[in-house]
Amino acid sequence: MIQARGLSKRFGDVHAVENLTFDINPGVVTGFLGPNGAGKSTTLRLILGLDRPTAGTVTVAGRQYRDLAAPMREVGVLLDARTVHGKRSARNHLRWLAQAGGLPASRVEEVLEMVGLADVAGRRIGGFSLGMSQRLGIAAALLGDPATLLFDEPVNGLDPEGIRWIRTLLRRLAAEGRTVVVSSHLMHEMEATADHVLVIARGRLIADTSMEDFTRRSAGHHVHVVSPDAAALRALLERAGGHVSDGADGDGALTVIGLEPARIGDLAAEDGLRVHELTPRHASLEAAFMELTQDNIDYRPLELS
Amino acid sequence: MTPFTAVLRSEWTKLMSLRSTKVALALSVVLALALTALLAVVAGATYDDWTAADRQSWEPGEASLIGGILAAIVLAVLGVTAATGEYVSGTIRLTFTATPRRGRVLAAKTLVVAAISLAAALVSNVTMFLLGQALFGAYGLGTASLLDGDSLRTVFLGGALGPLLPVVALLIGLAVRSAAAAITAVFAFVVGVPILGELLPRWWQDHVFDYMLFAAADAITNTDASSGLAPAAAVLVVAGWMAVLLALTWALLERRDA
Repeated sequence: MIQARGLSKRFGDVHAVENLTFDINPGVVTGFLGPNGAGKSTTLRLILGLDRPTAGTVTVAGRQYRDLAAPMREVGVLLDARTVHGKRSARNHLRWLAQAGGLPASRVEEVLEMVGLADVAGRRIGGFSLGMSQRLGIAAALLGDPATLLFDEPVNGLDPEGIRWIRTLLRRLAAEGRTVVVSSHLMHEMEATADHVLVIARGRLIADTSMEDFTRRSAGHHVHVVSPDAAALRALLERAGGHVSDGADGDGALTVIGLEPARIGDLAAEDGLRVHELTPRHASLEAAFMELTQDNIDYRPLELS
Repeated sequence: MTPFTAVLRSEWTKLMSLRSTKVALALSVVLALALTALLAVVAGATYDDWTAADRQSWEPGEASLIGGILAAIVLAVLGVTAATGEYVSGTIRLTFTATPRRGRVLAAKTLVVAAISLAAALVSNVTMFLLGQALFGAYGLGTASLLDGDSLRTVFLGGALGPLLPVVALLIGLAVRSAAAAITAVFAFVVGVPILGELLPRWWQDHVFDYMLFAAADAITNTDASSGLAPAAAVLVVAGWMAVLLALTWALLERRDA
């Protein structure tokens, strides 16, 4: 369980994250989504006590990170996979971490085995591929067998087999009742992995909902309707089983989910309601995500899947 | 809470699992011996030309430890990189995630750097002394015995002070986070301050310069050092300096985003 309350971080004049309030629950994979530069990494660093918040608090299992009695037994972290000293062997990298956490040396061999690096454990990390570095970072996160796991962009650099592997791992960790947080700027990765999503853009939380709801709301077909008789039309469409909300364009605009455009037109005609605009919209998950975050000045194009 | 010995072991593993650490330790001894041997050869070869005053002031014990300068430089660089290597590679974030109480990391790093530089300084001092006396003897120069009171003090007390510079280098490295800046700062501190001291008027030398860290450290071992501090007072001054530097570094680590 991770709880943030009014969490803000300013670097000079830049508001890296602003007034974040959320709960991250155990037992599910929570996707932490946002374009590069949206504030995901800053938020993770605030959770871990690496950066001090300008305002607000964040706790893990009810405590601030630095007050945890045995942090590595409670929280496992994959930050940038390149936070390693390239001249050390994988085994020695895990050894110093295990020692710092007061963990038995046997855990090093266990996690090496778990991530499939046992055969190359004696090799220098500098010669590892990005995929191998990611596996090493995940091994480090698993060392303390923690109840909370934070993974920053874990699929970066992994091949399809590696991506499948980590997906299975994340789901298994969550099924074991752990709190699992995965940050990503890749929407389609999250779609298959996360149960719950937090979406952040320009440092602000813009969605905190189940993946199912997020997908239905933003990715499904919807119909954009503009009518001078919006109130009556709305009631009519809702009676017919549509899910209607106010459209983004102000007076008379409706967003309709669950009814095809032809059906909406026919229903309106039967009741003599005027329709000025009737547009089917098929936003993909990524397009919806882009729409949500398009104001972000630091935005960079998402990879095409 | 995870015991402090765990953090200590971790820092030990971190430093000793790098080949560069072992290379630096070996290099500190080898370079020290090389410079001492060079001095002995030069002294031996020119001895016939020495004036009576030169021969009078010949101190074989102290002369044999000349190579300690090179050992100190190598160990200072080791101290700097023990700190800056973490920032360059980014492992400092893992270090502070594993041990969020940053004062414990600072204490463990300080102890580990102090321990290995103490060992290296003692080894190089003893071997320099023995090599120096052997070579001086071979050239017919005056020699000293390791068991003399003066020799014991310069070799072992000097060795015991060996960790001072590497630890200062570590603290500066942690403070400035860049190896180039830290090495520059260390040598400005070590070389620049004494030069400045020489240029200052007498009053400044007696009342300020004597209390500078390395002038005071010098006064602990060197009975006829330029510093006017008594050894006991000098020990207190050095301890005070180290306490202040440690406290400043600690405050900086705690306040700063990692």
